[in-house]
Amino acid sequence: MRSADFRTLLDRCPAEIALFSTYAFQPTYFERSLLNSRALASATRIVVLMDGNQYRQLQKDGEPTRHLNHRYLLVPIFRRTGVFHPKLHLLASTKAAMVFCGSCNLTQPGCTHNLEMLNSVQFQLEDGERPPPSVALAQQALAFFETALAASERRSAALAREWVDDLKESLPWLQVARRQRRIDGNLQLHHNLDKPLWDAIQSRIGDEEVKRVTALSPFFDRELAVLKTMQRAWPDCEFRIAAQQHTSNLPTHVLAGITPQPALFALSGHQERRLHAKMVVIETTARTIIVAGSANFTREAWDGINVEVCFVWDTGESVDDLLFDDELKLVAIAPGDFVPGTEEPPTPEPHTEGGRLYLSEAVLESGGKIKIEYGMDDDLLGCDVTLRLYPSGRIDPLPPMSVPAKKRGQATLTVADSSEMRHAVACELCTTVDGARVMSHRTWLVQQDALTHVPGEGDQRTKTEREVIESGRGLAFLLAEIEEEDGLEGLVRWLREHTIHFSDQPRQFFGRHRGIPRKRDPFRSDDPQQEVPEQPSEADQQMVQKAVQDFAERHRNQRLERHVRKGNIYGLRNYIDIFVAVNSRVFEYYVRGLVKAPMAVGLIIENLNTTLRVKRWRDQDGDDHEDIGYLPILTRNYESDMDLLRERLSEANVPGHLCVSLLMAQLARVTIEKSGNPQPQDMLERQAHDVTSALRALDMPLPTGEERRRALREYEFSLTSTEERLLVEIQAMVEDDSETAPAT
Amino acid sequence: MAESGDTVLLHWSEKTANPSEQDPLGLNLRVGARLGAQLLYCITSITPRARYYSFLTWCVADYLDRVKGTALDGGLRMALLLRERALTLGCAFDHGGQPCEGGGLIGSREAAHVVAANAGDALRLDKVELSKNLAWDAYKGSLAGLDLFAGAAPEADGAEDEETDKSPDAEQLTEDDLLLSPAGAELARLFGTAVSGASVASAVTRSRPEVTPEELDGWGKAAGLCALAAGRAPELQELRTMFLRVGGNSRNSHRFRHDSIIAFLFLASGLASQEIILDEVTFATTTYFNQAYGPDGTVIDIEWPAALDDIVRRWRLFHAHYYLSVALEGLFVSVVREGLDAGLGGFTLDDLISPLDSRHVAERLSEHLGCQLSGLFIDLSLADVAHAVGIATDGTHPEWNDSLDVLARLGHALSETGIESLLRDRNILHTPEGIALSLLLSAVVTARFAGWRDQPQSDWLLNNVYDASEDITVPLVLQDLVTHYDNWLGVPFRELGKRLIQRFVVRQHETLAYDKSRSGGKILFHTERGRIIGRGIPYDAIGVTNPRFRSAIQVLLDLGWMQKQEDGILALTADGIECLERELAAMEAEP
Repeated sequence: MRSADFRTLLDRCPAEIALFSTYAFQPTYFERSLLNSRALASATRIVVLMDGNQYRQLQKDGEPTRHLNHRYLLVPIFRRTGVFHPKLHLLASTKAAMVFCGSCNLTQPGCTHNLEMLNSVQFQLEDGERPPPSVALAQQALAFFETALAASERRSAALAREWVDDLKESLPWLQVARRQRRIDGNLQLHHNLDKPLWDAIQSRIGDEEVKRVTALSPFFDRELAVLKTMQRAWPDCEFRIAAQQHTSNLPTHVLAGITPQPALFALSGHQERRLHAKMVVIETTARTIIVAGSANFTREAWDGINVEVCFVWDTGESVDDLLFDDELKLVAIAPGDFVPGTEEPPTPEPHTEGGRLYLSEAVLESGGKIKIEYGMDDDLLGCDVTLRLYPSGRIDPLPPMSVPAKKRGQATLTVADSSEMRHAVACELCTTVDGARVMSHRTWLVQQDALTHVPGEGDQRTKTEREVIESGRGLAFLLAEIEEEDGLEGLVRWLREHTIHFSDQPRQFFGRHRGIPRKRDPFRSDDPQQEVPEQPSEADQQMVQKAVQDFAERHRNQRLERHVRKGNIYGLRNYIDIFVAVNSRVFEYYVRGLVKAPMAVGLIIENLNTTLRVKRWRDQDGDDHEDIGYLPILTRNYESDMDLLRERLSEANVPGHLCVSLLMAQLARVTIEKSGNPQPQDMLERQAHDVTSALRALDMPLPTGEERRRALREYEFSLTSTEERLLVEIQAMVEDDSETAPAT
Repeated sequence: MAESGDTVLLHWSEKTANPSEQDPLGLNLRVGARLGAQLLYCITSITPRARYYSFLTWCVADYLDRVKGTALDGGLRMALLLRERALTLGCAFDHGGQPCEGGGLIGSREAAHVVAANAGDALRLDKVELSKNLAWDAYKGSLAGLDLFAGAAPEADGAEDEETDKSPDAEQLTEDDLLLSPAGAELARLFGTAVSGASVASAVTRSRPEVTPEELDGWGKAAGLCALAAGRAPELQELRTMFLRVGGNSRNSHRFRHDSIIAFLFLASGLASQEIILDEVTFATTTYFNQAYGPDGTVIDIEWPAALDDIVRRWRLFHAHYYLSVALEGLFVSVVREGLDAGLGGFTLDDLISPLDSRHVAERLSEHLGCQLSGLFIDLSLADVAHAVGIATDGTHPEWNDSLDVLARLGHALSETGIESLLRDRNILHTPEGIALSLLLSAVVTARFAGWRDQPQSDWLLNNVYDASEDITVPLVLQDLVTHYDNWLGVPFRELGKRLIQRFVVRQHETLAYDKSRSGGKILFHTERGRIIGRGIPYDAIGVTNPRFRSAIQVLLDLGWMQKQEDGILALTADGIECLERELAAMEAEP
């Protein structure tokens, strides 16, 4: 089965503005996971459209939120009929855009656990070049958001509409070629706000003969109306229904009564994950058409009652081969044997403002003015009503503000001190009748000015992460933290997505990570520190090894070789930082069994070669060539001021780092040796000779034990045992050195 | 269509969530840990042996004096590694391969193997492999807290947690730059007098630190953990003074530790005379109810000295949080179990509590509580249950909480200890009665706490809430119930139970998952469209404990103030009695 991670997909396209739509929404997941992602970290404006009834439920549940309507705007979309059910996202910047259309809601299970179907198209925009065809897809997505927002009278929707207008001005490419309907050959975006999905699909198929239809869905309408409609339209067609037992609400008794009876398949595999993917495959005599997105196989989805969005495209590939294998497959089953689930597809609830006292919206405008829209039952009109504001994470409200008693209307209040409005603020109306309290549901203050994020303010990366990207230092600890939090997948993702900065400017010494013990009074966790040398699975090992290999090669090619080409000492500190960070990670992951010994040896040796190599040759034409590494090129370029060069190399402890990296390669290499009882020092003689030769050419001695240990400390191994093992070897080498003549 | 590199079509979503069972509601490691960290400041669950405090301080001094800056300087950690290995092996040889009494020695299991396999050969301390963890990492925070290091400037009292230690100094200096304070230097000097002649002390500074079993045996006798309790350690008085020291930086926390130690000594003294074992449960009942069970099961009243009133009230609040934690984890166990049973289809809170709608459950509960409930448990409120067990009120009067506190004491059907002991029985926990008892315990502890609100310490619990959306403790539960119900004591458990489970179990577990991973995936269930769906991982038992209690008792044994008698009773030594009398007198003399 081919798969993708939702967050990784989004992260491909860092956005300046992001528009999301979803049926269900979990602020906690969105804020703690997606808002911190690369995709949204520097977004200026973020809007989430969600189903109105689900929004009401969110209000009732009182889920904690920190950034709602402060960092991103949440707009509920209420429908008279049907539900607002799309999962369409548009992420755009001046240089790139992404359109995502899938089945997952913006919830924790939707984005990380369920079996969902993901589809996304991303494109780059180059200056002066004609926009790619996929631009029309983004235009269609934007049009969908405009249409959805136009139906809402809420202030938050009006604000989002203003933002969409701004977006079209700032990204003019979103406005061109609106008439272009077909994109990238055949990929189209269909939404029910234009016309029902069923009509769109019929138009696309035209007179073609439909041979087979396969529908995979978690939800079905009770009468299987879509199936019956299709059967009427294509009477000679073969139908296949795929669903998951215990979760899909397939009406098996209805299915059993349909003639000719469609073939039924149960999804098998990944039993702990709920099927939430929706897909219909239509095979005609000429082609295979795929419909995938938010639409369940229900009448409400296909007849335009709900708001749904799907991608529709032709494919030449076998869908069965693409999606199913031994891990996840479809198994034929008789309707009578299929055990359906009980959960029904999303249905609308009567839309009424909730309760005797309600607060529809509250908007914080400049100058601390809060504009509210609210209402109450007649018996409350004589009561003292107050507005309470609860800043995120606070137990007690800010001082309450009196609200004029009105049956329905607006009021403008002034908040005395808006300094507490640093995060999301929940608000509610409150009064007392006959000694009993009456409260509205809580809603979230729309903090109009704060919602436009100024780039450069509040970089979502942590300070540690910024320092690591800047210098490579602290990488071991950051990766250990990420692995602890997100497992090996998170580690691999970070390694793939990040490259340490290139710099040829002199920079201050950052200091080592392990600081002196600090007195902390008194809140210190009892958690014991655990070393984690668990044996990885083969799949994990291969996944991490590939990521480490890419990380090491990327840094060698894009950073170290660039320093070689520049050949100056200004980049020395950055060179050593990257050299150390990469070799350190390679070796520690080797120690943990995540990188195989030959790969570890190879990667470290390549970095040593980049630093030390001296290759000269004469070609067939008699022309001389040479390929020399960083130290030889520095030696040549600073021939006239060798004292300065030696001073800088000593300051950066280059001899120490060369010997420690060589030792790591030797330790890994010795484990590959099959015969005898070799010692690490006996391994990699050529590389050892290269180190000695390079230092000799510089007229520098081999590093002392202290210099090697000092270098080792900069490797920042997260496992104490790794560092200890190297320390012991260094100690042994120092003893050996002391027993032989000093090598200078 | 052909898929380009920037186009992803028809891909299954990856499962990135990775369940975790650790502290699922954050009750142990958040508010609970904060309270414990203050009450027993610098004595943590992983720092149970008093002599490590002086030994590690000596290691630092020895590194600074004899290793740092020399050709053999491998850094402080290398020095600690050699010395810790020597200590562990020394103690193992001293005890014939057995770990020290009282345990707590890092690497003693591996050392036992080394001793067993050793045929009298010398050992290289740099080659022998014991634990990969250094005791240093467990103790160094406590050593800093006790002002044994110079330059380890304190954070403001209670203002910071460990994640925010980002001062520039902390990042520039390393462990190798550590210096000892005068108190630390003195402690190290005294320890050094015990080991100054030992050949192992010389060996650890050699390039080939080779030692014989005899030398290690001698080292174990001089430097080992047991030497302290045996009164052979020259630094004993200094350590005692250190643990009782008050004032200076972090004075409130030092004062709490001091008072807690005196409370332990007072209790041990009083309980031993009545042949009662001081254990975690007894400590809870004596601070919570001022009562303990005697050897014959009768309830004995404890009269605390006035000087200990403040610390006892704080421990009472600690245990209120503890009992709430037991109750909520009991409910968590039930939610996880229901998730396993329900499978992918999930369940609703109504499904979860519907088994309580049964006569059988009411009968079983009546049996457990020793009363006759007036109806189905699910239709009863806390006031109804209290009425059934003899606390007659409708719960609307403010005095009700006081009468609950007065009447529902140790041995009463509604006492938290009694309900806890039922919940700790898995045969009960895993039945519908387990849910009922968990709900009852949550309600009782919250109602009892409501009666304490006028006490000077009552805000202390709330002050340990850093974030109301992530931390849970009793006043927050009370506030939630008071906000939602005009008279929550009269709300039937059908309604109250759903509120408690939804807000303080389900949502809490889901919210806290984001502290463990960015994806929020370290959860055992999730909610989707109002249904709770398990992730196939069991969680069978309540994991709440008082993790520092055992360490504190071990430290007092090590310091020679307490001794464990053959029958397990903890009694005071003559030094312990002298210390208790002296310190109590001093406390009582304070203005």
